[in-house]
Amino acid sequence: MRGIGKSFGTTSVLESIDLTVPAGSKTVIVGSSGSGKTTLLRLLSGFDLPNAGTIRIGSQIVAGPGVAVPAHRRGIGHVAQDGALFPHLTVGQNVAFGLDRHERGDRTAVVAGLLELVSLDPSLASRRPDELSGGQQQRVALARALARKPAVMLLDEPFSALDTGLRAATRELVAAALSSAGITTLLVTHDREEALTFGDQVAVLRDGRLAQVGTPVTLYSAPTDLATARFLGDVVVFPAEASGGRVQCALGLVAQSSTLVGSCVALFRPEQLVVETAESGTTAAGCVARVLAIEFQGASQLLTLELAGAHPIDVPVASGATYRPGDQVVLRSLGDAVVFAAG
Amino acid sequence: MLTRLRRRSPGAIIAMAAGVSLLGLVPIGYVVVTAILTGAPTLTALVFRARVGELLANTAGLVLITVPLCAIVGVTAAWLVERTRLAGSRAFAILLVVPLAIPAFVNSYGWVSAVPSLNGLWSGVLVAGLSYFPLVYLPTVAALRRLDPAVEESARSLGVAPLGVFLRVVLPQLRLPIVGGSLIIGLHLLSEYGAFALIRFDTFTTAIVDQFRSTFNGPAANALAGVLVLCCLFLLVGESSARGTARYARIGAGSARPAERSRLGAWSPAAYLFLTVLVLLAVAVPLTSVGRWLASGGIAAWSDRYLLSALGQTVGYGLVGAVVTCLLAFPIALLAVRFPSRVARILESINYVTSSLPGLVTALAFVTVAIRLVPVLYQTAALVIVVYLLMFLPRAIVNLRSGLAQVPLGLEEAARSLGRAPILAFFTVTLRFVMPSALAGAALVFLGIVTELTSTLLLAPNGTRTLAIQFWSRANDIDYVGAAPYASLMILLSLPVTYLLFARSRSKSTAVNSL
Amino acid sequence: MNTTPKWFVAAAIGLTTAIALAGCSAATPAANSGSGKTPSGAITVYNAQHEELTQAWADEFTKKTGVTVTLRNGDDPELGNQLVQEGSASPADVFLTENSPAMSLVDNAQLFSPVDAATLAQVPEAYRPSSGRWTGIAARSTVLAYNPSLVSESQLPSSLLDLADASWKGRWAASPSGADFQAIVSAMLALKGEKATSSWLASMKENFTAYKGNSTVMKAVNAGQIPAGVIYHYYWFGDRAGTGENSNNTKLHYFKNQDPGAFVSTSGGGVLKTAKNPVAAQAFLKFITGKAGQDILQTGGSFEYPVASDVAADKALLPLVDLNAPVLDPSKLDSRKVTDLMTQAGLL
Repeated sequence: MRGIGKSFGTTSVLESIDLTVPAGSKTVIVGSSGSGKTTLLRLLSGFDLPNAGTIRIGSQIVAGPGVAVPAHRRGIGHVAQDGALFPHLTVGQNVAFGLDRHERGDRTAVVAGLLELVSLDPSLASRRPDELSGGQQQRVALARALARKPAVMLLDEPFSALDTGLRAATRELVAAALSSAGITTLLVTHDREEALTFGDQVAVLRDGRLAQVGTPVTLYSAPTDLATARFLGDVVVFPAEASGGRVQCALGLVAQSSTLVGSCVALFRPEQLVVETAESGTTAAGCVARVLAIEFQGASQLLTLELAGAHPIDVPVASGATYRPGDQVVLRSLGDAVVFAAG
Repeated sequence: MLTRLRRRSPGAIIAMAAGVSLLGLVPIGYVVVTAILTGAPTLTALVFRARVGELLANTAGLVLITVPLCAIVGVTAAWLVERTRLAGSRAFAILLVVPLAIPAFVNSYGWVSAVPSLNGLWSGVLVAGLSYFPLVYLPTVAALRRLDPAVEESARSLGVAPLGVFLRVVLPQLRLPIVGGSLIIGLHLLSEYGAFALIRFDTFTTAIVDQFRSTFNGPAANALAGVLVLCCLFLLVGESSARGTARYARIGAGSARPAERSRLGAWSPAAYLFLTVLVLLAVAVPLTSVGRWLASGGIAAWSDRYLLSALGQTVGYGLVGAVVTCLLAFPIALLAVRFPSRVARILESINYVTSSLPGLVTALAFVTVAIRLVPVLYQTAALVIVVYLLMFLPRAIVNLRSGLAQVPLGLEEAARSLGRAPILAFFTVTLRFVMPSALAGAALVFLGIVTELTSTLLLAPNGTRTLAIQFWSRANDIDYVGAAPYASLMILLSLPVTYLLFARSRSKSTAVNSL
Repeated sequence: MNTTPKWFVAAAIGLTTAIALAGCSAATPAANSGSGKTPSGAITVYNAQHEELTQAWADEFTKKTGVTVTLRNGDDPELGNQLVQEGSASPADVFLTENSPAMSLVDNAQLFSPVDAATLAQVPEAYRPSSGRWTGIAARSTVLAYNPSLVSESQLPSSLLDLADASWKGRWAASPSGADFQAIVSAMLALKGEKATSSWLASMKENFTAYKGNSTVMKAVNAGQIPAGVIYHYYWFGDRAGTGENSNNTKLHYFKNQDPGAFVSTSGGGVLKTAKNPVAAQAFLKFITGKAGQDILQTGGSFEYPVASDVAADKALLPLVDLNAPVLDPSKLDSRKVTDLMTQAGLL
């Protein structure tokens, strides 16, 4: 995708989007609702046309100045938010819908194979879509799209309608099925966990622009702006003062990798923060804090800590150790801080 | 929830619903009993004769040609208006509903006074088709607006071209509105009298009226009525098997966006031509005719001595009939929504079957029953209202049902937990919610009564002249000028209700298919 | 008593009551026909005559007497059969028809009370049955309206029966569902017998085109859709007196010769035994057959023939005596047989 722009009337939804998805890889486009991610997917599918820019699949331009390949000739698979199964057809008929005529001869076998590919019992083929659970419907939709053997598969928040438990399991199944078929995949989601676990590449879309593109690890540990950082996980933020390779904040002097100097913001992931009891002694890069409140969460507990010169912060610690409001603790950071210019 | 509601003694509700439904058994009972009393030899002689064969051929031809034609025209028009980027589609959307405000016999009058040579099957198909295609068009529009566009997009991403998407995905999902609308058209075709009498096309219904005029309720009229009832039941069975068991509920929870509209490109002129010709034939021709006769009658035509009283009587019957019908539909709808059971289903479906019988047969039954068994009711307005009730009850039931189904039960319970007595909670909470659908149902019943002709002709108390009766007596004497004020008043009374139908077809309401 | 079935008891009681009622009502007219009483109140008229004509009579009658007249409009056989079905429950006081068969129908069911002698005295015997239970109020003549551009004078049939010839196939029209045409058939039945009539009806089914209403037939002839049509005379004169738009291209052919086609149909009026207001009902009938009522026929634009009180027809009409109509007892015309025969022939 090069320089994609799309506006509806005077409202600009997407602006100069550049994104390359390597063949056979899985890319996640993540953004909050209204960020334009569904619009982007619809441009790729061919359901809408961009106002600017070009879209290329392999060597073929499918949308661009003077070019508009209609959806049904793009060879792009598309799984909609709620599966969008044909309500008037059985599961089997749904899956076989896109098969060419000559493939319909051994339809039953093909359908059974596709259902197995998405870990569904082939006996479901005679059911009606509304007799299936949400997760099953999604997998039928995937099987239906896979039947066309598309080069590219687009998944539009396919797991958002599912229960939490079902979501993870379905996601893994789908990811596995797509990987084994070697299909280039684009998944759109607003779910940070989904974004970080599903893809080889993550693109953060905000207000119609791509904020950052990279591997999940890079994006999580080295976000280029505060909003991206917040979007992909919980953060603890301190006002700070940076000086070559280090930053001075409420936690003391912490290593950082930017070239920034002067007044700034230091950002940590909560799991970077280690809480130690006051008795175990103070180490170099730590500070004293007072426990304000404790929230028991099962395997972990969330401490609300008061630090000198900062707003209270929430830090998760393992259950087991007993804290009381008013206890003095020592707070220490692991690894580098991420630093942004203050503002 | 059910057990708690039981305290409100559904026994009373069942009794009320059963009372209405029993009344609904009178027409079929009448046909069966007269058939038995007539005796097999006479009945055979009356049924198996060449004339009945002719009528059967005419009626069957009419239904078999008009219904598919209406379905094609209605679906095409709905698709063009809803799913293409045709400029002015909003204007067409409204214009295509206007035929519903022009009673079929007024449309026929408009046509036959413009083209006097109209007669026979094809003229019947033309006039009836132009009057009734909105009965498919309107629910199809509503269904198209409710379809999840993601489903169509899925089909396109599966490599199916737009035409294929329409045929393989859209059309099958429109099956319910098409089949349902077709059934209603079929029933209208079977029961319409005036429109076909004016163009000299004989169907069972026109022949029954002829027999009635020659013999009052003689055995030949009753034998024909029996065959007509069989035709109706045949259509009902046909519809339910065509509807099948398939469900078309939206799957999934995503909110439906408005669907993408297609560009027609080179087809645009053809589409415009189709829609324009359709509107010209179905709306412009009858309205121009009425306008022409109004103009040639001038002010004098409006000084007709019966005009005001006919308007008053029509509105009076319409209002009373609408209120009574809605009140009596309420127990049936309540039973269906809150206490679904086999009994509730049977009670409800009796009313659907009864209302699909031609009003003429129902009227014939009640005239005879009243004369022989309840002379107190004979030639009273009450009897007219009873027949209107049976003819139009489903219009109220369908609307009330959807209204009741939308009432959050929790609200009523919340009101009761706040100390309201159950009955009070019902009135203050539920009724308020149901009011809009009750009004819509009442409006549809009103529309039906305003344009009702045949059963009113048979049942009206002495001295009663409704707009339809007066229009008919004028038009039948080829006093086209004298008929015009009555025609225009009926159209004016029907227009607001028609607009209501149009508005509901564009909302999420499901109750447009109840004409 | 224990062995007597219940239905028998019920039937016996019913029968006794009916006879008693019949006796009572038979006795009432005598009491009421005293012409000295002043009519007042309201009456209900089952009207099969043209609405405009009866309305003109009713308006004039109301003006003179203050009696309110409510009309129930319908066709001869429809209202006649309805009266028979209603029996003693009928709300009707007076029955007016266009043709006599429906009067016979009601009379045969013993539903009429005798017409006041003063009324009968106004009507010549030719236009009322000898029973005196109803009376003629007007008359109309059968005619063949034809379009001279489609059928020449020399081709015109000399008898109504000729329309059964193959040469008339597809060339003539009628309104078989109307009482008017059925009355003409009843005349044929009385004159030519059942066999001839039903074979004529069978040929008619082959030859003719059905329209609904005499006006429609005439309009079709005028428009050249069909060469000729059997109607009553006054539709033609009525249209001529107006714009003539439905008759300008047509002429009338009278069959005369006492042919069934020269049939002059007597419109009838009678008072029901069960009339709630027999005094006003009798007065209404007397008014219609009196000079004032018959004058309305002469001048009111109905173009029907007056039959009573020596009132002459509208000057535009061929005098009644010149029509050379067949002589028939109007009370002998059988409408039920006619509808049966027409149903058999597939015309209804």
